[in-house]
Amino acid sequence: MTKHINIASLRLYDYEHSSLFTGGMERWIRDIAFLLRDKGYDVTVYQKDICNFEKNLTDGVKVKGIKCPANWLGNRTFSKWLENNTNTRDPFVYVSMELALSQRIRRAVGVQHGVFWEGDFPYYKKWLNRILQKQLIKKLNGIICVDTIYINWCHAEYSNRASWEHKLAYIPNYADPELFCVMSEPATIDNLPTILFPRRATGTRYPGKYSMLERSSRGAGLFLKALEVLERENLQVRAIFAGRGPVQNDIVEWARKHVMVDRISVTEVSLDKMPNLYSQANVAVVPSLEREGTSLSAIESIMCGVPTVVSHIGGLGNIVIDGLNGFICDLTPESLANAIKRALAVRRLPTGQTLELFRKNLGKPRWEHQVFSHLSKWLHL
Amino acid sequence: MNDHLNLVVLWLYDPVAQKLLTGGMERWCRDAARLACKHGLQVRIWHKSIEPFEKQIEDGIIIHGLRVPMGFRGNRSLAKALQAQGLREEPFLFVSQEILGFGDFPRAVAVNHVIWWDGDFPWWKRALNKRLQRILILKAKATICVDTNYINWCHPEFPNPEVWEGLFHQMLQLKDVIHDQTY
Repeated sequence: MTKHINIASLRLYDYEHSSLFTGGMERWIRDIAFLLRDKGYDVTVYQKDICNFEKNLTDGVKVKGIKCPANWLGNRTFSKWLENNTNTRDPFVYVSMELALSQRIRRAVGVQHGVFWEGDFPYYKKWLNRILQKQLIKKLNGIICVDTIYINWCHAEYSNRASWEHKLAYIPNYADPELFCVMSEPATIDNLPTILFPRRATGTRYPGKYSMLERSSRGAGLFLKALEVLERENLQVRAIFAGRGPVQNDIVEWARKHVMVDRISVTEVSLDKMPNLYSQANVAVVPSLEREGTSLSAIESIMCGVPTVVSHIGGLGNIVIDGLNGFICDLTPESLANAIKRALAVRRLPTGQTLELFRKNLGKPRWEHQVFSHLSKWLHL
Repeated sequence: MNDHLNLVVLWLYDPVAQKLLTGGMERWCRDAARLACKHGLQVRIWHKSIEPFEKQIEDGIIIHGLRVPMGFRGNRSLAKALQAQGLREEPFLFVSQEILGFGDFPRAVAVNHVIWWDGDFPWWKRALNKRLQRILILKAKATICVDTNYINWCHPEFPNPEVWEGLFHQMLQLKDVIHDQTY
């Protein structure tokens, strides 16, 4: 008899249901679904949506869209629907942990992708979120955390640690070592090094008096300011912004204003084309300002041996040791510019045995083994 | 250029046993003092003590024990005692960050060694601590963090990150502290 497992998520397919959203969480859902299918499970992925739909992602993996409000209240509607329309004795993986509101679904595991609430949240939202997180920890059999930040936040904020600390497991993100191979150093164009920004060009929820670009959560604004610093120091570079997002036009406008149109390009490529981009890069930057886990882009870049500069936000500090397999910067343009200069000074990093160790320990096989063994333990698979 | 750098720490030297205490923070403090010496500075280390004392441990490094209560209340007394020394214009490195909250030191950099409070603290202590941490971040010209946990605890807890996020440094060099550069 085929065993069945359910995955609950905020989103996987886009609203036209023609392609998958690109992003770390969506890739995580796809890969966990494929892993469980390969282990012999019949997988159903439930996602919040604007209308009901059903679609086969591949043999053995079905995706069902459940019509419910897009806001927080919709999480309750979604949860009720799951209670009433699924076998609540089946195991559930809540890839979006905040959907785990059902009292009746007990065989459940959550996945925490990074602390997504910032200090700028309204007070009541932070307070409600704190209660929610505590309940989720209590209710779920276990939580896979992609970085240690959530775990450490819980330790600082919640009492009775002995009763829940064993439920939190740190399993960092991953990249496919076969897809992201070691790259040789690229030829420079016009003697200018190329710096790759392999992230979506997102804005932020609470820009305050600043522009969306300046407070871009993935650090596009910080990177542009760092480019200004480098220009002042007579270090000219090419920059490639690779990712869709609402501040794409702002980046182009910024380049025009700073007379750097010929050196700054904004593009968008599919996942399987990303290795080509890494092969063109002398340095990759992931200078996030907020809401960051163990960035897939940073891991991919490290696995390609491209010197990678990350900020100290979220789980980036979990995967980069400064000078060993990348460079860490603080959240100032000067610090980022300085880290980029250090990265440009090395041809490739990591190299040799260090590179091999990182490729092994941040690779997908390691992730698959860790995730499945935890799911087996917590869900009695 | 200043000739002196003042380091402030909860404790470092045991005047009875006449030896340095062991521990991560103590080693950090000792090594920062040696580094400052190597940069040609005279280092004064200030800490709490049951009895006042003054001890030169190495060339250019003098430890001053100030008689203040050894508990939490002693942090305030230590800050006030430091202010009474008339060193306002000199650079300070608060190796024990929490002491900075109780005084006015315009040229101060602080060091956060770890998140030392946990969820099992009484709620009122955590509430007070949260308020103190916010004050500490804003009072220091920069905060050196030995890990990313403190930084990432501050981001979800405190509003207006654009005001203070640039004050956190994992990569700050001691010479920058001394010369007010970088931050």
